[in-house]
Amino acid sequence: MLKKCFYTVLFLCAVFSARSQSFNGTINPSVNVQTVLNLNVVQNIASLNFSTLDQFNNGITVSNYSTMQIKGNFDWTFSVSTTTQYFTASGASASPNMPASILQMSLSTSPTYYTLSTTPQQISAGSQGDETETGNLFNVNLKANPGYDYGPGTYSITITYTITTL
Amino acid sequence: MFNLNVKYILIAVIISAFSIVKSAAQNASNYILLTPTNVGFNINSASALESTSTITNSFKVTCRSRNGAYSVYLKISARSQSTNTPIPYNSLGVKLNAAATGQTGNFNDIYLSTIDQLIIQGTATSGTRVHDWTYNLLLKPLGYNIKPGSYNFTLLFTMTQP
Repeated sequence: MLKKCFYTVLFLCAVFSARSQSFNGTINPSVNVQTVLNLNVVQNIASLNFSTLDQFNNGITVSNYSTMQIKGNFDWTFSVSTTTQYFTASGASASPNMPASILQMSLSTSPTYYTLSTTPQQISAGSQGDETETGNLFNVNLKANPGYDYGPGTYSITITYTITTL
Repeated sequence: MFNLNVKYILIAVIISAFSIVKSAAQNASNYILLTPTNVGFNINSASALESTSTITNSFKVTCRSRNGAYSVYLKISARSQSTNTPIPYNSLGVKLNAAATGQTGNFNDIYLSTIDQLIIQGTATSGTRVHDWTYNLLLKPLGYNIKPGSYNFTLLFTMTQP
């Protein structure tokens, strides 16, 4: 009797399994992640105005001149340069030969200043991550010291910030 | 008594063997067919890393089930990558864009895993008719901790007939 029950159960299981069918198919999605580096510059100071003897004697130092917010999926380096060798001068007495080298820049957390030129100079480096990653949010200081060698006028120059993959 | 046992065993073995064959092969009356249109994400900007990416009408699931009602389950059966930082399984998802005519669909976002999830419940098809279900493919924001590279997934669809 016990054997008969066993075989009956076996038979029912077989019948049940026969009714359950499955069919398969696949697709193969892909994700191509390219290198992404993003730099957001917040310009805290628009311009510098030289009007006192002390400013001409010692230059002007602007703390936290710009704020950099970097995010990327790759480790990076941060460099600074100018687009031209000389400032663009305007005004009747302005000098056309004020060089980019009257500018110096540093990290706000570092005493080391780098003299600007058209050659990019690395002043920082960091890790992949968004701006909450340590080192991905920082300020730079700017020092300008033209002395007495250039006539009164308005001078402008473009500073280029560059981030590249490490 | 011995003859009865042999009879039961033979019937059970025959039916089991029959069921194995039927569960492994598709046929003209019962099948599932996947038609990918675009299943490749290209992440190339900060905004793409920070927001959900969607490929609309990414693929179509075609079902014929003349034997009866059917269900379709979906899971990730494999993944590979060119880096040492895999994309989490549950970053990939699907969303029904268009249900088959006359069918009721689940239009919620369904994020995937390595375990089967029910995505479709359909009624039996008749004659030469099929049910076409069109899906969007979803990718959660990857953020900045996923390195540049190529990431590949295999999505396994299983149609069952209860």
